[in-house]
Amino acid sequence: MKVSRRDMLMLLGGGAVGTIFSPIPWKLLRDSSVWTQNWPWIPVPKRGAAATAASACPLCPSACGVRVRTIGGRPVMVAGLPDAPGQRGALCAAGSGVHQLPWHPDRVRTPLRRVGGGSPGFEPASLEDAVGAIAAAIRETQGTVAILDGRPGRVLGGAYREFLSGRADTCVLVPPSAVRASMPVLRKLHTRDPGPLAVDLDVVDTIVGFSAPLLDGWGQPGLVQQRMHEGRLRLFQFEAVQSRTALMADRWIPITPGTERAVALGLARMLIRSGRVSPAFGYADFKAFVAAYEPWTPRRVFEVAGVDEATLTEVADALAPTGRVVAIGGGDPAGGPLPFEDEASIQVLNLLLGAMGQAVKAQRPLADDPADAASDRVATRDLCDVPDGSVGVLIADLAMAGATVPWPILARKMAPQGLLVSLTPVLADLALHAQWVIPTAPAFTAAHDCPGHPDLPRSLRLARGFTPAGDEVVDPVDLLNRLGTALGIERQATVADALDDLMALRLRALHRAGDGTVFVAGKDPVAMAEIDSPEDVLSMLRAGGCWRTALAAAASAEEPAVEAGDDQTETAPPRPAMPFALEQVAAKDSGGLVNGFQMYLIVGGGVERTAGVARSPILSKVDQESGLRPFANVARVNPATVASHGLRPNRRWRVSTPQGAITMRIEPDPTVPPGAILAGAEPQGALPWNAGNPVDLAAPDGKTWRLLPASITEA
Amino acid sequence: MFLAGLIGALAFGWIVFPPLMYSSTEQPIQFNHKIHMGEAGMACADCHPFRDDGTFAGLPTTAQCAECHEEPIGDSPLEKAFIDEYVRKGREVEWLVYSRQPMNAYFSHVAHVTVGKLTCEECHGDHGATETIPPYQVNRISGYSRAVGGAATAGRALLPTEVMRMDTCSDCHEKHGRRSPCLECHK
Repeated sequence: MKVSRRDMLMLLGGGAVGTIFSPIPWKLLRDSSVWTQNWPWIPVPKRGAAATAASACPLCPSACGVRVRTIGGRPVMVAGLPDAPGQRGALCAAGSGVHQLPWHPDRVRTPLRRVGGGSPGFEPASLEDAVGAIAAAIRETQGTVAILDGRPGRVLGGAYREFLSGRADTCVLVPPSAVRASMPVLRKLHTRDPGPLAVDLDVVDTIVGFSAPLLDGWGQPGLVQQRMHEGRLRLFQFEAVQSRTALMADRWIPITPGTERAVALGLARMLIRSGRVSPAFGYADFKAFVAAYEPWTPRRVFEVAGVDEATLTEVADALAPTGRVVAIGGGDPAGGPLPFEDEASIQVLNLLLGAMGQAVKAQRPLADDPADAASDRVATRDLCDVPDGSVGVLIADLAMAGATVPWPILARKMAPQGLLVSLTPVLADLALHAQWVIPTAPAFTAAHDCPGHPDLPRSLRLARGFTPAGDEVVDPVDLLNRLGTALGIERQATVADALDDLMALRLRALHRAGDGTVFVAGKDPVAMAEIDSPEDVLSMLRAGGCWRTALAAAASAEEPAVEAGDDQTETAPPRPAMPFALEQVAAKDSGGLVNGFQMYLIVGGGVERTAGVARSPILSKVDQESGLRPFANVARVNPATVASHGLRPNRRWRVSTPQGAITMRIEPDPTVPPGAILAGAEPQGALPWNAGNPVDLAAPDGKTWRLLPASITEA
Repeated sequence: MFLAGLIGALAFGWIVFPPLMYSSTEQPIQFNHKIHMGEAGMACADCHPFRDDGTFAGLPTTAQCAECHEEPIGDSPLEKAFIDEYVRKGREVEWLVYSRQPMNAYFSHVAHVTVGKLTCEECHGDHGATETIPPYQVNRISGYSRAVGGAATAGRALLPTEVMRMDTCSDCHEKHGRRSPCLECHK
């Protein structure tokens, strides 16, 4: 039989078709993909003895207690600590991946110096060179020398302040979310500083939430849920998006995006007119105060915020000035805090409802706490409040911040030739813009002290170091010591060779003060005064314990409400603390859309999407595939808006704000209000496939990025 | 000729190719599950128990086997060889474990058996009724064992080329009404 060329081609064709319908290509593809998971340079946990240890998650101010499963001493699994007080074993997705961070592909393993050209344009350098360059810049700059402390409350913060106190024109900067949280703003509404304030959840029976993620990570995941579950708490939530908190609240009242202030002002007016004002509210010029709120009629609130009078009245009627009601704002950590005026308007409700001394209490100052060192000599300021172009040298420590700091906001604060130094374990976010990058220890490779949420009683947990960080990691205390030597700066209260020593110093101070209580899961709380030694405190914290400060004693909660029309300037006794300039807060207009931008861009994503250094890369995949959190390259839009604007989901769309644009695809989402675009913050890494970050479209006032006027066009 | 090529490729792909993908190694010694489960009246947990702390003990040690087989019970040459080579010499059998998992997947017998109330057969099929144990087969590319699950897993008829896949897990979770968040298995 003669085989022709045509026969041969037919045979090959048949073979090709048959091969396609056989397992050969598909099996090879699949096995090859599995093979790529086992490349020798991919780290795998070594085999060894299995054990479980308690620790804290150091990634954000929630400082959740965690249970860490280790194999051969290496963490392989992290879960919530079931018996941790107020946590119910809950843990966010970022916390569940904290043990993966030492293996981050963008991990910094040597000091890096920015060089011209290339992306991101760094070259390895020695620590000596880095210290020399930073010291020289501090010596020569004409601008402010500042340290950006992403996690205020750590003992490291005291060392930072002491270091800066060695020269003039210095300050510690903190992320806006740390100073524009509810309690720090309420503290500012007093002529006489009441000291740090905290919400006492044991007293609170009603919370009015203004876009705060109260059931989704505020304080700790599960903290408010637990009290709601026990029937001890009810929650009214004013929020534009049907968030998880809105879904689970006793009552969710949808509002127009960005109108929290209008709702708060309208509620305040109703409380005033109905006489539901606590006698403890001692504003000096009550008539002027009432007059300032008078324009915020239910009709105006409806026009601005979309909340009708019946609903507003229903909420107002449920609020009694018993002192057990508290209003909380704050906002999504990834989207940043509310503007100060909005938060202040919300906090006025706490004053009207008599929360001070009841639901909100002053925290006792701690004597000789190294974390507070030099706080009287070096100012702590909101990053957004620093004059533009004023910072000559900035050392940014955002490793465990749990807060978003948009680069455009930081960039405008830097002087033209300013030096930005980033202390970070991962080359991500602000580190990509730094002149010097100093490698610090990732979570679970060194011990970190973990202070709690700024709205809650001062607390401290300890995150343990499970595996060695490596010789290349720089201890921030060692860096300060080297800089101090180069600049002739000596610290007094925070003298230590390493962060471990500094934390031991703090534990000794806390034990000496004898204040507060240590809670260990599954055991009875122990008063600090009854603990024998600082070493015992350390061992309790290493066992997953949590130290929490005591709050000031409560005032009487049974004082009668003031009748409508009472003139408090004549009848009320002088109060030790008076709110200031409340009329100005009330009189300011609520924000609105900018001409030419017909939509709102709402930036969210929760604490899990705040910073690249705190995110295991697997979370991007999880977020994108599960819809767990809003994602940067996906614009979630209400189906009605999709239809009215002709937004076809299979096309790419350009979402523009006055500051820039990001290309996204559209995903219809009925939980987003009409006319709004919901997108997640996108921590930026050195890897090339990251999308743009909506956070970087921050508002031109340099203070907000949670809600931006936007338009959408086909890309 | 087209048909010849088609049939040839299909035959090669479905019959010849799959075994080529796996290297095969015999276990150090054979074992008869059927005798133990049948005549001896034993249950799976007698040799594969959960420890007091709740964790799964896996394969029995030689010392555990010696509790019954310090001396031969029957006249099986395999039993005699086992006693001579392992019990008397105090050696552990170097079993080639079929259930080798990818390092990025975490599996807990406790969660499935103690909490989920699954029977052994739901995942391991009729393994307990076999007279011999199969050779240990390793995929030449991925390096994973072939006989992790089997056709009985989740009631899914697997292709001859298949090993246990993530779909197998998620199908079974779905069948039993369990949620399957990623981090539950991928720690």
